[in-house]
Amino acid sequence: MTPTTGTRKVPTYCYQCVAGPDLLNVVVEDGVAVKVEPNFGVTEHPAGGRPCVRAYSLVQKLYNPNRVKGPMKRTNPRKGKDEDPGWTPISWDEALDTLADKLRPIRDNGFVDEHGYPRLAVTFGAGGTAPAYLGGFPAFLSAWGGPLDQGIGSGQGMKCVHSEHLYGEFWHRAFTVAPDMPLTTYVLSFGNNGDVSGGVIGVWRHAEARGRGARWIQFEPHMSVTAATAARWVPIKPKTDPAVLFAILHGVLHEHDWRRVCDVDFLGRMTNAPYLVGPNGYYLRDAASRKPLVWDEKRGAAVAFDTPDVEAYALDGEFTAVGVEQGPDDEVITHAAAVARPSFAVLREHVRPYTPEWAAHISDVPAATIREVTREYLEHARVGATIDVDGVTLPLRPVAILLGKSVNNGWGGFECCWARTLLSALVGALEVPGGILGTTVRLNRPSSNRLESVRPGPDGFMAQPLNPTSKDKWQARPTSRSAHKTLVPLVSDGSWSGALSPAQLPWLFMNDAPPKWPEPTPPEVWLVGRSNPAISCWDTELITTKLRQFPFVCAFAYTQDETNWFADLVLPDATDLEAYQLFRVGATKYIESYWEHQGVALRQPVADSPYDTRDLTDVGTELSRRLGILERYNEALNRGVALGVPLKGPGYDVSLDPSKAHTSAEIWDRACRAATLSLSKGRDEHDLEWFREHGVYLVPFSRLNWYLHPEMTKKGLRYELPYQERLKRIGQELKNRLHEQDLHFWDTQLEEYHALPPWKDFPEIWVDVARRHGKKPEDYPLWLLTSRSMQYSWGSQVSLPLLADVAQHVRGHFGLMLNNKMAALHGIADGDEIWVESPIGRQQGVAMLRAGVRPDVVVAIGQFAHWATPVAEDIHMPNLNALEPIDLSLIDSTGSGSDLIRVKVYRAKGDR
Amino acid sequence: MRWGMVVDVRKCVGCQTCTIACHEENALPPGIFWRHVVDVEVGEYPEVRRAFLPMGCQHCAEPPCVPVCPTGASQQRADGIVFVQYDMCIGCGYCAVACPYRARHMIHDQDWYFMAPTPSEKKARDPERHGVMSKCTFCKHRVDKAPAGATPGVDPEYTPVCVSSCIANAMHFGDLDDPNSNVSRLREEHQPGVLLEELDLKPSLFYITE
Amino acid sequence: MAETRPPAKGRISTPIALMPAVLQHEWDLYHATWFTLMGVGGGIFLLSRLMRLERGLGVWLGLPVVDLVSFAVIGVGGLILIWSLGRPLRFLRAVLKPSSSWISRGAIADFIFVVLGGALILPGLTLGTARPFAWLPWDAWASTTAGRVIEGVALAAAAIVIVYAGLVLADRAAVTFWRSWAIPAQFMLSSLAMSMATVMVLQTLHATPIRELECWWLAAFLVLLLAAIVWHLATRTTQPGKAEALARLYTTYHAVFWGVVLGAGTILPVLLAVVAVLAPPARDVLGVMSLMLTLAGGFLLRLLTLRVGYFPPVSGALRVPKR
Repeated sequence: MTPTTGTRKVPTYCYQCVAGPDLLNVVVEDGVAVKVEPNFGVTEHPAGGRPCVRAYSLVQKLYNPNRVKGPMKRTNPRKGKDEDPGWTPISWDEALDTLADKLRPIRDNGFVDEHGYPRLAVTFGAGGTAPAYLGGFPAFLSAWGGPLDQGIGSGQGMKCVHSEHLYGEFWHRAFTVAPDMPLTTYVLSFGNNGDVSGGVIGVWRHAEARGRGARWIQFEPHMSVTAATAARWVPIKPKTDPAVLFAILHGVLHEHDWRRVCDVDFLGRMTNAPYLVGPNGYYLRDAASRKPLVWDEKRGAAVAFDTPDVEAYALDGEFTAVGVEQGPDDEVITHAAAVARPSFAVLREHVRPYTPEWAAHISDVPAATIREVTREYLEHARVGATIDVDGVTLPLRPVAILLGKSVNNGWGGFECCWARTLLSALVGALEVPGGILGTTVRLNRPSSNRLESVRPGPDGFMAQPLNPTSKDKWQARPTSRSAHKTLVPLVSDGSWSGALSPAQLPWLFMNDAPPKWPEPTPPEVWLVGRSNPAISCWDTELITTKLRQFPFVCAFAYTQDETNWFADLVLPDATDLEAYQLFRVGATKYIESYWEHQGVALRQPVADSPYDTRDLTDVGTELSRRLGILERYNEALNRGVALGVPLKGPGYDVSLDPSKAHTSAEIWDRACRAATLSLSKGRDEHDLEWFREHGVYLVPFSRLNWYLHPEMTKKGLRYELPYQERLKRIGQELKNRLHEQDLHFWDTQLEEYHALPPWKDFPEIWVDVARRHGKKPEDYPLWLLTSRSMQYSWGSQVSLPLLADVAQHVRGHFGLMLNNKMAALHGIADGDEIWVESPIGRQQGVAMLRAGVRPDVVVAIGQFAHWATPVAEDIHMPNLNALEPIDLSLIDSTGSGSDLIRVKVYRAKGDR
Repeated sequence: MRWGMVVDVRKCVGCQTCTIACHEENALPPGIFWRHVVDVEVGEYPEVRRAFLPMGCQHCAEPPCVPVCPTGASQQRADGIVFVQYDMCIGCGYCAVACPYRARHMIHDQDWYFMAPTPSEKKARDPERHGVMSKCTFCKHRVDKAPAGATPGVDPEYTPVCVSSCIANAMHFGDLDDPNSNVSRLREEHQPGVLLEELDLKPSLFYITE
Repeated sequence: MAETRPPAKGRISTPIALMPAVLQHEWDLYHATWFTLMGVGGGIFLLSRLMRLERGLGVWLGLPVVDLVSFAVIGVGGLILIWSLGRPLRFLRAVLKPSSSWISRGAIADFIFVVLGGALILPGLTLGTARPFAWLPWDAWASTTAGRVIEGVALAAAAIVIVYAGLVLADRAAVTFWRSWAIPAQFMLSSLAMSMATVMVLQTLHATPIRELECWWLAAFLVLLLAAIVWHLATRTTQPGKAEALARLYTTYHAVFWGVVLGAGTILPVLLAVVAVLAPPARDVLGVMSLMLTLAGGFLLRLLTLRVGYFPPVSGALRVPKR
């Protein structure tokens, strides 16, 4: 199939993490892949055509002798950690027949079970990287013909920047938020470990920025890599970031002259700062048009927000006006003379108590430091400055506030996201050059172009595809096991929504649902791939217990792992270097992958597969054929499902014959043609052979497209900040709906719906976990945190000894990092075996003493403690997930949770 | 002409991309790293500095590893590159104990990552290179291939892979004797220091830390 | 080792230790064994001839026993050394760089010693009644001019053999603990002490009386060895790399070092030597005891020297911020 003599450089892409795709060449000698190199030929790549450390392990990943080498079925009917599955090899035909035989009854007898849950569930984890490796398989899922459940989680919500996903998209079409690093000069980062998680482009740009004197201040409980390269490390107490952010807000609005330091023009014209807030906390609206009112200082009157000739919006003061407030469930409160204030004034009052001294007491960040960074932030913001971008003059605001995981998810995540986005808005640094940018959308459409997803909605804001909370439209009975339509209005109802809602709940509620709640049933068939929930989800012990109940699990497997240990069928995954797919690159994608070009890149078989693996596109085709949905499958492909581009578009038609079973090469050949025709607007048409040689096709993508600002101004829209009137209302409606059903388990979560979020004692939530498990909080005095390992994240690298060999050079591999002085007090020396224990369990690891860790913090990098995955099972590293319970008390209203838990540590031998 | 490197420690994030790129380019066995990045931490909480130092052979102008070699296998070229002539090395280890930068690595046995070599390991491994000392070669097999008009350190195919793979663009390679080269200009601007300056070995790697 | 210098102009920070001292792991048991055996092999040849004891140590097949023991010990040591190489079959190349490498110089000395020493005793070889090499114009006792020349060169080579291991360590190794004249001095004195004790045992085996002078020499070698060890331990104790070596010696190895190397291996044999001076009938037994003790002490001295061989911390200019 692939040439077997001579030396070739085969281009492909790496999307093992969401910061890509990045490009590389695989050097193949006489048909054997030998090494990976950057693809220097792609000068459009913002990081010089270079991939990161993990991409170099792809050759070992291909030839790994511990891979699943062919399809296998279970012969031991008993499932359990201590039950050997009794794998026996079978042919692909038998495997696919078996799977089809399990799927057919679902199509024939009903897609949904008696509890209302889809009988077929699929979990492709790894944060959205899976689609870059599933080939055409998503078209099979699209052709399935009925509901399927993507809500059985593998760590979504806990392991991703969840609150940022949902609120980011809500406020500025920012599924993830990035700094405009090529222009930014000042970054305040609360736990954002961008020098590890930012991908090659993030790392490259941050380094370049440091080289030109940009200043990065890192607030983080331990000195991560990013804290190390930062200009300053501020060791903040865990989960107190909202306090510091609120104190910075206080500083801007009370200790500086906000009229001078804020972008008042931006606030007046492009936010809801001037919207008048009535006595009940809702906008004061015009009675007839229901439009929110603003106070026009020139007129001296309240007018609708979109009145064209308003010159000076009042941001301060108290006014009396006629109008109505629109409460929940169409409640209308009429006011003949309401005392109303602009939401900006309400905001100022809201943050008045949050002084730097108050925050210092909570967070261990000195008040002087808070004042210093506030001052620096305002100085660097350069309110009033402009810059030319591709011929258009835009505001220049080179400041960014970034949040990291465990700050932008879980309790406190909403508060941090709100404060951060608001601080950007206050100086006009939202979606403009130098400021914070959204990179992509996943809840809004189209996902390929977030600018196009900006459409006018009510009250002058963007239209949002929220799940309804009204009496007649609310989805009372959950349609997915994560209940996204029922519990999380913000997450909408798209293909990603199930995975983006409380994806831990299925595990928690199976066998143990709250009263009146339809208990999540194990799915009749569960497809799982590129995902290992038995390691990556909280309470790993609970996961393995529940997995035993799944009647039929089909795993797309790379190696044996802790989840497919419970499978009935394993189908070997064609890994990164073994199959075809064309995938979008460039434009603006997650993390910091925003380019001045956009296009597509091919991944392809670089050499003959060493084992009996199969391209998932072919698997999709074969399953479709067996189930009699081949035509629907091909039609889905023709529509562009899985391919990223429709096969028929303006001026071209390379559609597939729906009646035939096409090979993977044929399908992707069509995709190559369609993509190039579409991108070049008919000028170029390149086939698969062209892509096999060239690897990537790019067209220019204007930098203007990085910024939402032009789109917002063009469409006359405002950002829904600072005031969350809509969230306040839908929160109340959701509460009404749930209480009408006598459902109260979500009550704590409902308290998060605020128009202006207050500080809560967030750390206490974790302190309280001990009490909930019948233990004493004072017995768990330390915070266990986790942190990213660039060498290990995402792509099944745990089974690669090459990466273990490389990773050992980075602190934290392989042990528990503790503060050296604190360790000495506990009689712990460097290298000692220690236990780290939470209220639900304990794990053992090796103490690694450091100065760069807060004395009340312990850090366990990544997620390990494998017991079935080859090579990984020999890595002696504890896993925070084994110590963290899936508690409703730890899950916020969006379904996210933070990776931290209170623990104690003690030597494995000797006194406790 | 004298080849050298300037490493910008302010940019390095310790990701080990250079570590693995070198490892793969030179088909090294498990546990042998000619280039690796050391994760340094100094100070006491909360006044701590953590930095990442790419380490490896410093190709010293006065290398202690060359005179100690009893066979003449350890050599230095006119352009400063210190290397091992594998077929002359007897594997005595003297050069390794002479190097204060810990840059020399004995490849004891044929060693594989798994029980048996993978196809890529079989293909790439050099059978001459066991039982002998090994070290960073400044990728002389790439540098020496530069045709007229190409510049090692600028043209990536003729540049050491650690430099050309660095995702922070923290490493630079060039001619220290050429005042207009990239490394010379960086030295002029930043006045970078060297490691173990007190030993006066005149290493060719310079580290920008401020 | 020079102390850290102030930074050159334009640079901001004073160098600090960035990477801790680490132990070398190239040389261990094989090398300690080699050092010990070479020291004994070369030393007994040297001492027996300088002290004119060689005739009283027996003859086998016409060849002096002491020389046979010497060559056998060196042969075994050499084989162990060659076995430790990464490429043993290439060992002959080790002689190629005497201009700069003490291993080359030592290898050459080894060869010269074995070849010339062997040649020196060869005329005496008696197989039955045949003496195939009797025609050579010298004898094992160096009673002719030619013999004295050969013996002289062999003695010079032997002198290098017993000391060059220490010079290998002291000359250019990066290990701070080794970079001192004390190391070759210790190795040489230890070699001489072990060799003296070996000669005494050979005398005992050949029923030759051990002379008082030999006991004084044994004591003297050991006292000087003790002085060299103490001096090395007491000087430049805070030197980067050496400080860590001393710490390891005094903690991980404190029992072996104080108890065996210094106590049983050095000080006790001094006392035994003095007793042997005073009590001639006890000399045979004391000689055997001294050999066991000095061998143990000598071997462990070399092994521990290797095992506390720390590369110094790597220093560089890195500023630690003030909060």
